[in-house]
Parts: sequence; structure tokens; C-alpha cells
Amino acid sequence: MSIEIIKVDARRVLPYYIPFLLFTVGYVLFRKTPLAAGDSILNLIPCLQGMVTAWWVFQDSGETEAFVFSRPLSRKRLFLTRWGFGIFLQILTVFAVFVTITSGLRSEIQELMDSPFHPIVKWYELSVMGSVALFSILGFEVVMFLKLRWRIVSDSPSIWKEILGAGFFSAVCLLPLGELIEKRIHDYLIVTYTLLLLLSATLASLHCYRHLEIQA
Amino acid sequence: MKEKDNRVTRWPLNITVLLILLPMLLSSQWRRFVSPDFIQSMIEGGRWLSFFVVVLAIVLFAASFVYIFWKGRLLVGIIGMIVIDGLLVVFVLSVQKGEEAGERRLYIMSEPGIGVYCNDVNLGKTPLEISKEEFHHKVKPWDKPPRQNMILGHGEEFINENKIRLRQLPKGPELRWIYIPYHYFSQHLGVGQPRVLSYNHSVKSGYWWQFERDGCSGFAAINEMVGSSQDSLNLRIWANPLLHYPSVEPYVEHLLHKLKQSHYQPSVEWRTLVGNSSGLLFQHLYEIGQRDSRVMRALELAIETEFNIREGMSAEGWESVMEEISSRVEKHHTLSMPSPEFMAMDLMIRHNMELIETRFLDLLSQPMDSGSMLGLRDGLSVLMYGSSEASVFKLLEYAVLKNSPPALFNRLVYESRRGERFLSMVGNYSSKEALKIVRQYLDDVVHPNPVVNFISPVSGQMQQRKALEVAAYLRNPALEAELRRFMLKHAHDDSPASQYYLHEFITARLERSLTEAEAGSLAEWIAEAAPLPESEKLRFLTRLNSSHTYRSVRNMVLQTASIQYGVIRNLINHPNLWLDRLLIEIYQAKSAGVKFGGIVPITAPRKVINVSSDLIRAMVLCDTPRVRDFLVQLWKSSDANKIDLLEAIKVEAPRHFPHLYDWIPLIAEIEDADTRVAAIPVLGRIDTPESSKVLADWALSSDARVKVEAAEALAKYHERSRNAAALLEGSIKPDDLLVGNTAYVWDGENYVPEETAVKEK
Repeated sequence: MSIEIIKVDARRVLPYYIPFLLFTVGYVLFRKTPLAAGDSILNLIPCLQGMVTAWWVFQDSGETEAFVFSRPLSRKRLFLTRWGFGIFLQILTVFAVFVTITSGLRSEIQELMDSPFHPIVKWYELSVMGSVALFSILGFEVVMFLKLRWRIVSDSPSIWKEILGAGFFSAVCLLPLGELIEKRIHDYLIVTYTLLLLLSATLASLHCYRHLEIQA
Repeated sequence: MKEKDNRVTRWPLNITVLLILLPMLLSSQWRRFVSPDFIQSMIEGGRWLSFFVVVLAIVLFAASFVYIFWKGRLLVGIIGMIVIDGLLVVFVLSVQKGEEAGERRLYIMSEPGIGVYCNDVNLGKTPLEISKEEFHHKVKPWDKPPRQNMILGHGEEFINENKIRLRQLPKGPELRWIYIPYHYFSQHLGVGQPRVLSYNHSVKSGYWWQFERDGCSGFAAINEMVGSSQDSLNLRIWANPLLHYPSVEPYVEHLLHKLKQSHYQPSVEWRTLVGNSSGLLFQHLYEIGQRDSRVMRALELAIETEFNIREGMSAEGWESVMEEISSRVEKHHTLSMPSPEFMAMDLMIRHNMELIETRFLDLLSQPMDSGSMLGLRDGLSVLMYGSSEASVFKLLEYAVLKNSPPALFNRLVYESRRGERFLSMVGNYSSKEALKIVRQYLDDVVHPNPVVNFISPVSGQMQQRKALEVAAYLRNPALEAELRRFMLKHAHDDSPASQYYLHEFITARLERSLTEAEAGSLAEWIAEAAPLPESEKLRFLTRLNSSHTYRSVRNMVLQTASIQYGVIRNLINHPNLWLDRLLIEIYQAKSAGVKFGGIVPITAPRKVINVSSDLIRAMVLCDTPRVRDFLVQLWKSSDANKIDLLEAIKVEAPRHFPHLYDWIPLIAEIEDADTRVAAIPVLGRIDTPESSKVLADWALSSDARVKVEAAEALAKYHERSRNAAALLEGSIKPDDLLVGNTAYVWDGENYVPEETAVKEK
């Protein structure tokens, strides 16, 4: 049963997800200087990707909502399926970055482009994985939580309010983290905060999802 | 669905919202304003309005968090943030207002370890930081100028027994009052240069400063109490007095005297004293050590004692040495080179580079300040300020720049993306990747991005400056051709910056040990391509240690006769063994009154300059067998020549060139009484046990003049021995070695000798 839900979500998400994935991989492949944690563009693309993914996974039209909630699945199972799918896609992005670097593809291309840094820096560049994963997953989690929260506390907010709200709260949350990562301070604090927010946003979203009232 | 229709438990939602808002507290703005140190400084500074605003901001922030948790309203959170941000703006304004009301902070930087006193109150050691309030709390102004001595330098004559108006006295080190009147807080009213006050006005300030380092009093004229102001959150006054230490020279002389007596085997007291010095003493001895390897070895022994470095030390032992170096650097927040810490680091580079590499990698992951070295010259004397960690990192950076350890290469290539700091380290490696990285970097500067250049031309200029600095200090023979082209392209004009970097570029190369081919190529480049005036080219060429030097300099001398004297002066400042032949040729041409090189005889630019004596000084300093044989022949040829040579040795003896001591056996053979009288001051200045032995023999001479003068010189030698022992024991201070003087008092208009003032009354 879960597979049908995933199919529905995939059909909506992938047209947006794949371009972002290509952007990310393309950036990793062709960025001339060595990659490092705190690379704002490399963090921004997966972050936006996570936000878009969350948006489309949990954006049900009336017809879809009727289909989804008519499946013989508990709310919890439904949520975990969709959340798992979203997280899987974000981890897939992180994995794609990992493979692009470790396979040597980036090094090959950079050597063709006459870059003096490669292949020397190949393994050091894996330091980007942490910040890519953080921004990719937190982008997803923040927007997922906000979207489900609005469905609980407010009656069909306007699309602009949702977009602005998602952008604002993601910026409030992620910009200071980006600054800290770039300046290499409070590493343990960032990891602890990320885990806490991940747990809190997921459980709060599950809580919302269980109490959603279906309009369809 | 209305909100009230779905009243599920909201606390998980509210907690998550709070968590999302939480990183705001980590933003730099909050970290800066709400740090405990900052709040404490507000309380100490009595800035209660600012303090109230900060407390209110914190309370409101907490209240909005509680409200969000209670009610779960995001809108409230957003409004709360806007209000709090507004409060912070108000707060910033109030801080600025507080500054206008007199909030200032004084930083006395200068070199580390200088004791600072104001009105006889010990304020601590540099780098020193003190707020206006704390300063006024500790230091009370004096109603009238203090009675004080004018300190004269070592061996100087008493210059002013009469009432002379102060403004007629020369400015600078000659004016050595114990107390210096200056009021930083009133003279630095805002950003920029301080108000310049006359001495008489400064005297009325009521604040009298004294400085002390390694036991030596530091002096500055009023115009040397320089400082600048910086307006950030607090108005800061950065004071960097240009201090002169007249007692350091006799101090060093006495320590060297002791060292010579012990045949360059320093006693434990000597080692402890020098190793413990804050750098002033060390710097002077280090300079002599560069000419005399025995003094350098004694310094190394002092450092080994100070840092507890032993032969065959274990890894743990080196760890503790590293800890000791780091703690000393952290304590000062400042690095000066040369210093005991740098020499200890040099010893560690020789014995345990692995530990330096490990510590360097550890510190790489920590945040760093923006200041960096971008390379170093071998003979450079530098002073760097920074945070504690940054100072330690700079010390390690020095080791990496100097040694280029292969194990760090890959990591440095990766870090080179972070800018010139690491790029200059990478550039010293010989691998093809390193060369490519530097070439690409230089190419980016030569061909800047036109869009970036259009948007911000200033950043392009700054980039160019940094690149010039990197190019000046890179030590990579494989890049030399590119670096020279780069310097010619970007440092070709007469601007001070271009000239500075060009000078640094050439000096850095002259200070290295070059191969014959490298030296030849450099000589050719300086002579033919470097955009420098002839006199500058000559100055650099006479410093080049290579067989090519003779040919290049001789050619220049032959082309332009007037520069011959410049060559001699340069060789007095920087003796060059490769130019011994040239000196002999010039001397012979001059003695014979013939044209040198078939062009013109040597002439001095001014009649007052004694060309012969300078020429002999240059030859005396040039220690090669050829010159030595020539001078010995000269010595033996006539008594007049002996007198000339003795005069040259006497003048140069205080520079402690070790080969000057080789003249003692020849001097001992002098029979003529007049020549002996001329030789006695020379023996006194050479100041070795051997020279004292000759003096002791001559003190028994049958000639009365020789006997008396030798006895006096010998008595001074023994006095030096006693004083040196007393200095090491700590029973006298370096200032006690200075010539005493009568006290001066303020007569309402000027400082006058106390006796004169009493007579006038």
C-alpha cells in the first residue's frame, strides 16, 4: 500500500527534485576551487531542494487527499511513509554529492579543466558532506513542519503566506547556522541543535498529521 | 476548519517553533551584544542606559519565547523579533552616545613585556588595556611637574648644565627625561590623529608616564608617544610609544663582557637572565649573534635552559616545550621576532618538526583572525598582534613557512582556497601543483575579472597589494622568473607601496643562501631590469654574496664614478667578502692618486667625509685572507697606517665582528709609545681577557703616558667585570650603568637644573 503513496508523491516531487539534484551535482563537478563546508551555494541548492520536496510531498489537492487518506493505512504509517520518502530523497542528494566526489568524477573533470588542486584535495572535499546533509535535511524538516502546522492552526492559509513564512523561518533558522559553519565555531552545538530540531520537527509533524481533519 | 475547532495539544508544535527561532540567538549580533564580557564592561563603565536596553531586550526575547510556547502564535514571534532588533539598534545608538559622553579605552601595545607606569602607579605590562574610568580610578593627576633627572646615554657627555629652553633641545633619543607628560584621553578626542600639544601644554596635563623593559627605562619625546583612535563599538586609542632604551647598550656590553670572560660558555645566571628577557635584551644579543656564531650558540644555550630543552629529549619533553612556548605567546597576545619564543621554535624545527605539524593541523580547524604573515624574510624583525590562539598559530605558521614540511603539502593545497595566507605556504613547495596554483593566482591578479573590477576597483587594488606581498616573500626558485615579471608589471612606478614591495622582494632574496646561478641571475636582474635608481641598485648589489657581485659592482663603479663612495658606505653597513678585491683596488688607486679603472679617482660627496678612514673601515670589516694580508702589510708599512687601522678598529669594535679580536696579537707587538696610546682605547673596546692582558702588560710600561692610560683602561675593564657580576646577581639595574646627572626641576616654564633654580632663588 505504501508503494502507491510513494508513487503519487514521486509523480509530484520528481519534476522539481531532479533539476535541483542536477544543479547540485553539476555544481560539485564544475566548481573550480576546492569544496568546503560553508560553501553557501552548495548549501543553498540542497536546502531549496529539501524545501521544495517537503512542499510537494505534503501538498495534497482535494482529489489526492481523498486518495491518500482512503488507503488502509494508519495516519502514523502514512506520515512515516511520506516523511521517509522525502528524507530518502534528501539523503539521495547527499549520497550523489558523496559519489561525485569519491568516484573521482569531479577530479577527472577538474584535471581536464587544468585545475591544480586535483586530485590532491579529493578526500578533503568530503568535509562538505556534513553541511550539505544539514541544510538538505533541515530545509525539508522546517518546511514540512510549517506546512502541517498551518493545516492544524489555520484555515487554508494563502499560498503566498505559506511561501513567505517557509522562506522566513528557514532563513531565521539556517542563516545563523551557515555563519557558524563557515566560521568553524560551535560544531558540537550545531550537531546537537540539528538532531534536536530533526527529532522535534518530525514528532511535531507526526502529531499534526495524526490530528489533521480531511476536507475532501 | 477553524483553529479553535482543532484543539490538539500544541506544545510539540510550539517547542518546534521555538527551536526554529533559536539560532537567532547564535547570530553574530546577539553574540556580540549579549556576551558576559560586554555586559560587564557596561556595568564597569557605568553605561546604565545601554545596560538597561540590553536587559530589556533579553527579557522581551524571553517573554516572546514564553508567549509563543504558551499560545503558539508565530506572528507574535515575528513581531517580537522585530521589536528586539529595533531595541538593539537603539542600544547601538545609546552605546555611541555613551562614547560621546567620554567612554574610551586605551590600549598600549608596543612590544610585549614593557612595564607601564603613570604618576608612579604601575598599570601593568604591555599589551595593556585600560578604560578611562579604571585609569582615573587608579591614577590621580599631579599638581606640579615632578623633579626628575635627565638620563644620558652610555658614554655620552653631559650636554646641558645651563638653563636651555626645552624647545632648543634636539627632539628624539637625546631628550631623555625620566617622566614623559602626556594625556591620552584628552588628546584623542575622536577618530584619527591625536591633538598635538606643545611640551608646556602637556606638562599641565598632570599625567607623567614611565616605561621599563628588561630593567631598562624606556624614553620617548612627546611627539613619539604616538597613537591612533579607532571607532567601533567603543572608541579605542591604540598607543604605540616609540621608546628608546639608553641603558640597553651598556647592559648588552656588560653581558658580552661576562660571556667573553667565560670563553663563550655562559653561566647559569647568564642563561637565566637572557632566556627570561622579554625580548629587548634578546634582540640586541641576537643581532650580535648573527655576526658572531659563539654569541648565537650562547643564546641557544640560554633558550635551552629557559625552555628546559635537553639532548635526546622524549616526545613528552618536546610537548612540554611546545606548551611553554604557546603559554608565553598566549600571555602576551603578541609575537615579536627575534625573541626567545622564536628561537625555541627554531630549535624545535630542528629536532621535532612532527610535533609542529600535529599542532598546526589541530589549530587549522579553529577560527582565525584575518591578520597573517603572507611569508617572511629571513632577516626580518616583525611584531604581530592578535588573539592568543592566533599568535600561537602565527608561530606555527612561521615554522611551516620556513620548513615547508612534505607531510602538510596536501592539506595546505586544500587550505589555499582560503586565500593568500595558505597560498604563500603552498608556494614554497617545488611540486608542479604548487607552481600551478601560484601561477594561476598571479594570472588572476594580472588579468582581473572585468566585472568585479568595474563593481569594486578598490578590491582589485587590495588584491594586487596582497599579491605583491606574497610574491615578495615566496622562496621558490622555480617561480622566480614569473615573480620577477610580476614585480616588474605591478611595482614599476615610484609609489611608496611599489617601492616598498620591490625592496622587500630583493632583500628577501639577498638574505637567502643562493646558488651561484641564482645569484648571477639576480645580479643581472637588479642591474638591468629592476626599476630602481642607480644608488639603490648599487646598495643591493653590494649585499649580494656571489662571485658575480664583483663584476657587477665594478662595472657600475667604472660607469659612474660618483658612486664609489656609496659602495664604501654600503660595505661598512653590510660587509661583503666577495668585494674584497674591489676595496683593495680602490685603496691602491687612491693611494697612488691615479684614476680607478682608468676613469676618475675616488671623490667624496662632501669634504667633511674622510674617504680614507671609511675605506679602511670597510676593509677592516671584510674578513678574507686577501684583505687580511693586505692590511697586515699596511700595518707593518708605517706607524701612520697603524694609527689609521687602529682608529678603524676602534670605531667598529662595538659591532662585535669576531675577526676584529684577531688584531690583538699585532697590537701587542706595538713598541712605539704614541701608537700604544692610540691602541689603548681599541683594546678597551675589544674588551676580551686577551686585550686586558695586553693592557695589564702595558700598565707596567716605562712610558708614563702608556702606563697611566693602560692602567685607566684596565681599571675600567675590572669595573665592567664587577658591574657585570652585579647585574647578573641583580644587585644593580641596567639604568645604574648610565652616566649620572643632576636633577632638573620645573621653574614654571622650563625644566632647569636644580642647582640653577636654587641659585636664581
